[in-house]
Amino acid sequence: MAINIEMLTDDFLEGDQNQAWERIMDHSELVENSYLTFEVLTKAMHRIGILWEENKISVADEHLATTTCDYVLSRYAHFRKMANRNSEGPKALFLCIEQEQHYLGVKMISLLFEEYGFQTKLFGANLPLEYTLDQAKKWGASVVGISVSIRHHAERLNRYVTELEDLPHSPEIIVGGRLASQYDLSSYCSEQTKLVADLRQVREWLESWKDSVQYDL
Amino acid sequence: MIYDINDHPLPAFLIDETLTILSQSENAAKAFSIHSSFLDLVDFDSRDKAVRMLSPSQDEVELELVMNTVQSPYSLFQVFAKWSSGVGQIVCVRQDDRIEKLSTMLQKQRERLADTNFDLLDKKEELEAALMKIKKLSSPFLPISNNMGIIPLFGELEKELFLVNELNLLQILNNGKYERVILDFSGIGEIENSGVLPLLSFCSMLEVIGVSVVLCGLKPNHVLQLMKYDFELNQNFEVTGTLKDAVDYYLKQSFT
Repeated sequence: MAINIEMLTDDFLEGDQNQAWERIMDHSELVENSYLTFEVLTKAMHRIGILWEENKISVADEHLATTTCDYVLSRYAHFRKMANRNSEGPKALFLCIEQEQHYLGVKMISLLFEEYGFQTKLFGANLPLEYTLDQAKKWGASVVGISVSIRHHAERLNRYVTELEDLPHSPEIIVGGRLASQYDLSSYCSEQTKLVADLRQVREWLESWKDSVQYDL
Repeated sequence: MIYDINDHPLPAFLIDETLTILSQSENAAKAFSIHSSFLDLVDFDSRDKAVRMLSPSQDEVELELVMNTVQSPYSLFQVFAKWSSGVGQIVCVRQDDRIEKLSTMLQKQRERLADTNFDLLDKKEELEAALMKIKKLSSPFLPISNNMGIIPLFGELEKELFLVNELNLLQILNNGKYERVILDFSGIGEIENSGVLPLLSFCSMLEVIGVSVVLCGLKPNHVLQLMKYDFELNQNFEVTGTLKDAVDYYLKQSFT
C-alpha cells in the first residue's frame, strides 16, 4: 500500500518526528529505495506549500514542518549510511543561492549523488557567491548544484552560473529547486548549464553520467 | 469625529473588488510607495493567494502574504481584511524577523540534537545486537544421545531468552526426533516474573512436539518463584538435583 502523503504532511505540521519516521519505515519500498523516499518527502513538502496558499497554515507552521522533514531526512540518510561514504570519486558541491532558505531539496540531491559514488559537500541555505567560488576552486568540485526556489532570487542566479563556469577547472553547473520546476530559467543560465526540474531529472543525469564513465578495467 | 484612514497607525488601504486601491494611510505610502493596485505590492508567489482570499465573498479574513516594501522586496506580512458594501478595508502588519531568527536557532539546535541522537542510536543498535548475541548463546542445545539432549540456560531467565531462542530450539528438537530434553538451571541467576510464562509455554510446546521436559539444577529461590505461578511438573526426577545426576538417571533409564 502506498504511503499516505496527507498523513505524513500532518506529522510534519505537528512536529511529530517519530510518527513521521515510523510512517516511512512502515513501507518496505521506502526503506529500500531512497529515491522513492525523497519523492515522498518532496510531495509532502509541496503539500505544505499548497496549504499556505490556501491560508490553512502560517509561515511558522512551515518552519516547523521543514525542520521535522529535515530530521526525518537526516535520520534516513543515517539509517541507510548514505552521507559522506565516498573518500574517492568525483566531487560535487551543493548550495542554495544567497538569501535562499529552502535547502531540503538540495540536501536530498546531494545524498542521491553520494549514492552514485560522488564525494559531496552540502553547504545548504544562503551561500554567498564569493564563498561558493572559493570553495569550488579550493576543493576542485567537478559539479556544483545550485538551488533556487524564490522568483525574487532568480536575478542572482546568472552571476553564480557565469562566475562558476568561468573557474579554471570549469565545473559542470546544475540548477534545480522549486523555481526550476515552474519556470524556464535558461535565460539566467548559459548553454552548458544543466537545468533540472525535479528529482527524476537529477536521477536521469546521474544515470547518463554513470553510463559515460569509462572504467579502467 | 470622522475616521480618516490617512492617520491609521499601520499601513492600511481601502480597496474595491478588483483590488484597486481607493485610498491608503500615510504609513502605507511610506512602506510601499504609491501603487494603483494592491496586487502590485504583493510578491509574485503570493498573488494567487491574495486574489483568492481578498474578495467580498470572504467577508472578514486574516492571511499571510509576502509583500514588496520599499525597504525590502521580500517581507512577510499579516494582512487583515474586512468588506462592507463592496469596499475592503485592509491593514498590513509586518512580521518582524524574530520568527526567522527563532527558526534558524531552532534549526541549529535540532541539527546538533540530531547528531547526538544518531550517535546514540548507533550505540543503542550495537548494544541491542550484542544483547541478542548473548541471549542466543545463553541457551545452546547439546545432544548427548540419539534421543536426548541438554539445554543449559545462562544469565537471567526472562522473556527475551525464549523469544530469541525458542523457535530455533523447537526446530532442532523436532527435526532430530529427540524424546527428552533436560533444561539445566544451574547457570540461571534470577527467574524474572516476565520469564515464567514464556518458560511454561516453551515446556508446553515441547510436550506438543513429543519431547519430554526435565528441569534440573533449580535453586530454592527459583522453585519459590515458579510456585507462585502454579508451575506443575510432570517428572520423577528431583528438580533441585544436579545436571550430572539428571543425565545419569535418564541415560540409565533409556538403557533399561
